[in-house]
Amino acid sequence: MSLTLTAVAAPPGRVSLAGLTPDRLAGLTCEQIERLPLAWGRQTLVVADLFRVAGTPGDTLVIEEPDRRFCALGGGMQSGTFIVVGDAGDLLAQGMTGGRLELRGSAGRFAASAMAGGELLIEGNCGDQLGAPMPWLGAGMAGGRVIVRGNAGARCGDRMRRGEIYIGGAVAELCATRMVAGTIAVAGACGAQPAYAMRRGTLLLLSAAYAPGATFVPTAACLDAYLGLLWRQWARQFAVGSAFGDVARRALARALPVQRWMGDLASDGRGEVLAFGA
Amino acid sequence: MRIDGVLIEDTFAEAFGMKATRVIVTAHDATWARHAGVAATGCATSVIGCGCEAGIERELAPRETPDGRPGVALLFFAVSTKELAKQLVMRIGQCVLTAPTTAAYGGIAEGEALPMGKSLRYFGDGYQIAKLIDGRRYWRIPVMDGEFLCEESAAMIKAVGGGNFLIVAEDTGAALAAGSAAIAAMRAVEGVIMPFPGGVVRSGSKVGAKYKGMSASTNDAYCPSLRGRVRSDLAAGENCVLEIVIDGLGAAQVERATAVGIRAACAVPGVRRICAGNYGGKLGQFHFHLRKLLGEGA
Repeated sequence: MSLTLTAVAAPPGRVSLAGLTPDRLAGLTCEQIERLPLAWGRQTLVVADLFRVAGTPGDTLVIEEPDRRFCALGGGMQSGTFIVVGDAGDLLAQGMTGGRLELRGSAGRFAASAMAGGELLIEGNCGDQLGAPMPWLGAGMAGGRVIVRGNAGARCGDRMRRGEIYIGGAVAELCATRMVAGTIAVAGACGAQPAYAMRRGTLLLLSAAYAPGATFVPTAACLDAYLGLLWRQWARQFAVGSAFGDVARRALARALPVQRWMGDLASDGRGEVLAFGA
Repeated sequence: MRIDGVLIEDTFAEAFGMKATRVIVTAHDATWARHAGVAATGCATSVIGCGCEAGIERELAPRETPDGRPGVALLFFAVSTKELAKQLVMRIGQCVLTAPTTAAYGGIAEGEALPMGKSLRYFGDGYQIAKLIDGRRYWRIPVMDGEFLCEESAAMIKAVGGGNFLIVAEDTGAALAAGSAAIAAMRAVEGVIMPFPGGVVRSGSKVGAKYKGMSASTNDAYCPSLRGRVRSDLAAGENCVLEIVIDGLGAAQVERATAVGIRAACAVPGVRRICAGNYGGKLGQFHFHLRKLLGEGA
C-alpha cells in the first residue's frame, strides 16, 4: 500500500513536514491526512493547502515535487519506506529512528541531524552539516546509516556519536570534525582539515590523499580482520558500479595499501584516519 | 537388531539439557586458528570437573568466515548460563586473545547474549575501539601483533549434552579402530562435538561411589578386569569397552551423529555389540533409543 502526496502549491515560507511519515500516516484515512496541521512559523496550514493526497496509507509514503522550503522531511520517522522525488530542504530525516528514506534529489543543511536509526539514501548532493547537531545540542548523529551518492558539504559528521556515513563523491572542509564515534567513508576528494578535533571514530578516505595535521600520528595499519569484515559488509550492501561496492570488491580481490593515523591528539586522540589513496 | 553382524542393544542413551554457544575463531592461517581452537577447548571433557565441555566442531575455509580468513568453529556447553558465560570469557581471554593474529566471532545468529568482547575489551586499557558493522558490535583491542578483533557477545541457545553410545569389542585394537572410525564419520555432522580426547572416553562412570564426596565413580559393570568379581554387563570375549559422548546444539544433531557413529563402528571387525549409558530414564530429559534412531523396521 502506498500513499502519494504531490505538491500543488508553493509554501509561503519554511514549512516543517516533521511527523509526516509513513508510520504515522498508516492508520489514517486520506481525508484525515488532508486535515493534518503543518507548522509555518506562528501560523498553521493543513496538508491539503499544499499537497494533493492520493493512494492508500500504508507502509510506503511518496512525496513528489517538494519545494526546498519544506524542511524536516522524514523528521521522526520510525519505520516504513519514504520516497521523496525531488529536492528536499534542511533537516531531512531529523531525529529519524527507523525505516528507509530515499531522496531522489539533493538535500539541504543538517540532514540526518539527531538521526538515531534507519537508513537515509540521498541520490544527489547534500548540504553542510550532514549528521551534525543543531547548534544548541552537544551530540550529532547517534545511529543509523546515511548514504550520499553525490557530494557533501562542510562539517559532515560534526560531533557524530554513532552510525555510518558514506559519501560517494567529494566532501568539503572539516569532515568528521569533533567526531565522537562512528564511521565515515569518503570515496572522492576530501576538503581541508578532515577529522579536526576528532576524539574517537573512523574516517576512511578511499581515494583522497590525507595531509595529516600536527596532532595526528602515523601508526602501523594491522587491520586484516577489521577490513575483512568491512569489505564483506560493503560488498553485500553496495551494488556493483557503486563507489563503495567497487572498492570493496577490489579490496577483496587484492588487499589495498592503507595508511593509518591516530588523533586528534589535541582532543582525546583515539580516533583514526585510514587513507587508501596515494 | 544387528548392523554388519554387530548386536545393537535395545536400550537408550540418556542426555541432558545444557546451554551452548558457538564461537568462530579466525587467524592469519589455518595453523594459528587451530592452535587457538585447540587451546580454547582444552581440558573441557566433562562439566563435572572442567566447568564446560568444548571442542572444535570443524575447520572453516576463508569463504565461510566473517573476515575471510581461515578459521575454526568451536562449541562450548555448560550446565548453566552463568557457568557458560564464565568459561567463555576465560577461555577466549586466555587462549584466543593470546594467540597470534586471531579474531573471535559469535557463531550463532540468535539467542541470549553472552559477553565476549564486552568483557575482554578492557584489556585494551582505553585504546580499544568499538565498531558496529551490519548491526553487530565488534571490539578492536590493540595487542603486540596488531589488533585482536572480538565480537561483543556470542549468542547462547538451549542444547543437549551427554548423548552417548558404548562400543563393546573383543580387544583394545578393535575398540580403538571402531572408536576412531566412528569419530571420523561423526565429525561430518554439523552442530556436534565429542569432547573427550580423540572423541573417545574409556572412563565411563556410574552415579555415586563408596567414598564420601565422590559423585561419580568407575562404571564397574563395564570394566573387563572386574568381570566375574562384580555384577558385570560383559560377556566372555568382551574385553574392551569405549564410550563416545556427544554434545549437540539440538536433539536432532545428536541423533544423527549417534546413528552415523554407530554404523561406522559396526563396520570394524572385532566389535561385538553397541549399547548406551543411561540412569533408568529418570534424570535426563532426552532419551536416544539406539534401535529407533538407527531406523529399525524402516
